[in-house]
Amino acid sequence: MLKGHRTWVFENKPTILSTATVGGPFEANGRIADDFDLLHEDLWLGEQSYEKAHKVLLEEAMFKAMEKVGLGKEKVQLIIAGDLINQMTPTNFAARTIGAPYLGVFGACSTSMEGLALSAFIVNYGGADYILTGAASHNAAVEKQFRYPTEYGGQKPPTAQWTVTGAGVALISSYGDGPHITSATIGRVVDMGLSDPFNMGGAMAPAAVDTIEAHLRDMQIDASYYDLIVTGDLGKIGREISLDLLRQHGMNIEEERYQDCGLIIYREGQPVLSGASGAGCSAIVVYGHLLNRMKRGELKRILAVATGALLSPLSFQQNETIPCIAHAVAIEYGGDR
Amino acid sequence: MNMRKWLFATIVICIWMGGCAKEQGVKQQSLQGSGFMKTNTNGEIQRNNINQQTAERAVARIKERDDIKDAVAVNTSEKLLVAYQIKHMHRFYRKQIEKEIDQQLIRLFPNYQIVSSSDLKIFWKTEELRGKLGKKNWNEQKVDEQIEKIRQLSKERT
Amino acid sequence: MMANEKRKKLTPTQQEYHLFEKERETKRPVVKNCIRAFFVGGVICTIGQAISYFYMYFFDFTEQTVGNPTVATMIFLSMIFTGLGVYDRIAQFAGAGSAVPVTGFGNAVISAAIEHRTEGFVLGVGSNMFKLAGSVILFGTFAAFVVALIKTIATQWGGL
Repeated sequence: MLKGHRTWVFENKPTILSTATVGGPFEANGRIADDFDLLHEDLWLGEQSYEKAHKVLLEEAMFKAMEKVGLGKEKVQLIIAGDLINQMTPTNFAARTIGAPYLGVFGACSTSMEGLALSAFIVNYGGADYILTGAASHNAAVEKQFRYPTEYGGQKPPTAQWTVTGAGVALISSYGDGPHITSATIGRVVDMGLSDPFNMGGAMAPAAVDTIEAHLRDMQIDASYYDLIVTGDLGKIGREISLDLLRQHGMNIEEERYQDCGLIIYREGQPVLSGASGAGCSAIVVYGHLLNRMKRGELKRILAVATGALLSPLSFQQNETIPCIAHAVAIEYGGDR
Repeated sequence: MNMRKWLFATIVICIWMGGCAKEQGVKQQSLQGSGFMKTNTNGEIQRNNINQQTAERAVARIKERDDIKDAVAVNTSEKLLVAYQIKHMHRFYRKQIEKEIDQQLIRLFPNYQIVSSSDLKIFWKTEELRGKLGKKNWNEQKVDEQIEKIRQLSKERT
Repeated sequence: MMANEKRKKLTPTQQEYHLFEKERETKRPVVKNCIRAFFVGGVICTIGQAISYFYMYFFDFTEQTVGNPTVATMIFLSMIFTGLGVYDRIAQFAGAGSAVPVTGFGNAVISAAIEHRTEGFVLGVGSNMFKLAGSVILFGTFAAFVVALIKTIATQWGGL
């Protein structure tokens, strides 16, 4: 049901039955290594190419999520997933392996929440009983497409971010126990005219602010309703900017209740500059770390705002600015049910 | 990771040491050569009679210049081979210095065919040749040939 | 200057945000980068000098002719370090210090070749190898041409 301007409220409370996250070697050295279901030592994952490794990441996460609740792949009625590679081939191949009906979605790094919002919507209205949704990214494969070759010695500025190698998948169902999705706000494209692909946090911050404000306004709630508002991959700079923007707009938000997935994954001292990014970034943090915290009872209500920079290597070479988007999904657990 | 760092450091140091330690090596080699020669000639070096006065004079004149670090020369009755090193900061004016020295040499030794160079390799080669002059089986013709070889080497551009 | 001109095309809200963002952006540490580049670049050049002395001592190369084998060796070394995955780390530290010497060129070539190995030798390595270095070659040659042209004109007709 649409509430306010662009927020969906799910009366039937679609549930996250299970989740699975897979990470790479760099993530294994990070801060939330314990929250992964599977960690790979080798960036190649034993495959011939990084793109194939990318596909395997997503496949493994999907199988792991189904395995956790003992669901066969023939029971899955829909897959809604995406990644950053051209034409989303890794996701396409992973969907081929599962063999279920498939919708590929692209929202750059906001894909995870875009998929989750759509899945919740479809499940809520009886469109499917089981939906697999998720997002993945592979550092080397994504860098290859968007930036320079992996081994190229170009100095990155301190505003640059590190693309996550990992996949996060959630199995959404209309019944069952678990965290449920209460509402979702679909973002609109916000372009503040920034064009530096090495400063995505700065470009995406206004989109995150726009979506958060729209969500709170539509739902007629205060920021304190949520135990945690977590943005996708704004990084150090983006988080600071968005926090300042929110405060400037008169929102009262506590520092520790406003976090960023891009700053949760890695440890201090890992060479990630401003933080993590990539489609897998918000997916692994929300589906892994944060849901685990919810299950432990540390958090009851969270608002996950995945941010995406909708640029292509071509568009920034042609001096286009970076259009940005953010989708918000509210997840609640153990609260009023 | 750590091993790579060590590997890198080792290679860097090897190249460094290797590159800078050569001078010693060559000097030692030439010393060994003269030692070999001595034993062969029962402790007496047989000087052949190529008069090196012209070469010595040329070296003295060039060393007078304050932009020259070192110079070495070899002559035969027809040819004069002069090699010199230009002081570091003066290397910016290398072309001009070369020209001046060439003119100076032509003026001083009009009867000689002059080969001169500021190239370090030519300097080493000339030094080597000068050390060999005392050898028993070296005659003027052979030295001429060597000078010609060095001249050609100095003309190589690529 | 560039940024200011770009900014003029934007709407007032965008301009305002630009300034807002600039205030909070971490700046590139220019002075620190310059110092690092100076030292790392210097070390690379010292290695190059050592190699050229090596060639001059052991082979018949003069100062004039030693350039070619030295450059080839330096590029070879940078390729090995690129393959070992060390060069990009040095570069993140050194910036221009490792990009400007000829080793940076070798790195640009070989990194692209490694990257596209998975697409095969012809369509992958062959067509992508000079993806980054191609513009260096093109504009290097072009710049040399322009400089030679200016020199020719100046010496022929300018009487210099």
